[in-house]
Amino acid sequence: MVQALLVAALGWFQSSSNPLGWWLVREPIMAGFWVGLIYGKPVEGIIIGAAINVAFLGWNSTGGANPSDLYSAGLLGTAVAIQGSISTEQSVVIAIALGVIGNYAWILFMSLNSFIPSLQDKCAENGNIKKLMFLQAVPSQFVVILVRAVPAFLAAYYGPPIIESLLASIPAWGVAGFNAVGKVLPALGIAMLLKYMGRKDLLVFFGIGFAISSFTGMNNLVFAAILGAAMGYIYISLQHNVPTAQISSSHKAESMKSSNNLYEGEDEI
Amino acid sequence: MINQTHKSGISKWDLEFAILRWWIMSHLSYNYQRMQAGGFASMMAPLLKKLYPNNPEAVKEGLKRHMMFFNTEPRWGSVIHGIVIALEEQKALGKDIDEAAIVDLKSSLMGPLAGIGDTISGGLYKPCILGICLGWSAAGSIMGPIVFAIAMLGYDILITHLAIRKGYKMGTTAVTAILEGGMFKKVTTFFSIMGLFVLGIMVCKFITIDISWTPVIGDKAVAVKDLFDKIVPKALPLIVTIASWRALMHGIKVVYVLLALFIFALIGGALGVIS
Repeated sequence: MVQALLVAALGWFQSSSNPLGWWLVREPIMAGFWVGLIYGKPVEGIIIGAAINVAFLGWNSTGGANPSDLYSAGLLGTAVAIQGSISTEQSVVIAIALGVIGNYAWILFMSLNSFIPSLQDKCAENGNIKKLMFLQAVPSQFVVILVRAVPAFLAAYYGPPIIESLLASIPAWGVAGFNAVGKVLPALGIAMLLKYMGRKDLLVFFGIGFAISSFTGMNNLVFAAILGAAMGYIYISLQHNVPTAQISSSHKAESMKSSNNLYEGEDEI
Repeated sequence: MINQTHKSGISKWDLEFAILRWWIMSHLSYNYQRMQAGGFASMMAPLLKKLYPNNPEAVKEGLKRHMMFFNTEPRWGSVIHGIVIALEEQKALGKDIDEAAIVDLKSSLMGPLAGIGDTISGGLYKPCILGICLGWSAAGSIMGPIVFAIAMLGYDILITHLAIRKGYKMGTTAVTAILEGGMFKKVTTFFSIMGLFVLGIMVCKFITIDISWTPVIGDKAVAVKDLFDKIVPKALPLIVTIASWRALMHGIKVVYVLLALFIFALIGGALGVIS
């Protein structure tokens, strides 16, 4: 009970819509750690959170078209998975399913908050600064508690037995299929990011990364980041020395295009 | 602009508190009706009171001006806030600045800056940091969450702070510096290369699906996986990724790609062809 309440508190804080909530609890990599800490299994929590996060790599960059909600996937996915004997692959599938429901919480949050600016207009007319700022900060917190913290409590408290009995009723071939789904889904996160980063003239670097890792088995990501940064640096400094009129104009058009795509989704942070 | 600032009531600390207010409050009541308008008004409100200590009517007009629809990327986009503070200051000092000009400036800059900010923050910087930290996390190390939190919070504070201060000091020229200067292009190219390279490695590390099909030909079981591994190891993860990416590039909705992957893996896994 106490643990489920703590998960609910995390559910409030991660969705309170400020940088502390975003970077300390929202991302699955963080939520997994906190949930793990609550249930006394921080290492498992970190591992599950990381697995979920891979499937959400492209989140935030697709502009409103996210099929699953990052907030609830990370928090509730880990909270449900860590209480039972659920494999990491299966917890990714559960997290994405929970995230689909979580999308509605986001819509509800944005819709219920839409009453607030009308009240703030009145404060502007009266020059009531304190009340305007109060309205900015406080009422929405109750909305968050309603649409995020309460569902988080219910999922953390009642979810695990339901999910476990569901999993127990699935035959062996179904479990095999389910595990395969969990192993494939990270591809979606990577593909979404690839759509975003994949400038044609730079795609070769994706190929180099894949070839190095698949043939040598090298998969240390810190080493990869250092190598990648070095290649990026070399590439930029070499570009200085060539006449870049053509390159820069085509790139400008491209970046304008992606900017427009992005801006369509105004409900992203 | 810089020389005249000391004449108004805005001190260095007033500006610092304004930055802090925006940083914390920008999205607190994020909504469909006005997006970040309340956040902008909350940032401006105490400043307006400082600028017009004896003129409550001007404060009210200013508040109404900043309760209008506003939405941008909260870090890079906040260069707008710096410019607006500088303009409001000049207006309060008696310069002939039309209030429509201030409103126009906000709405014309919020789109382009949102594009730039989202590209750098959400599309490049965060994935690169995640790329590094997920490796630690997948191994169960606490370094993952710790480094991620520090890197993201630090970035968030630093960029917001710099953008507002720069906008305040340089006025509209700050935007030209960001939009036209070569910096944006260099930053995106650098992070794209680093991100793409790491992404290639993540395909192998995180997509753990493989072919488990071993058909019996004659009286010998053939492991198809071994045949593939001789040409390109980890071919299946690469194929799945590229297929999903191409589908997305052709404008197929993410939900349908998700469903397709789901069905493909469920059936393949159930038949024992992949695992």
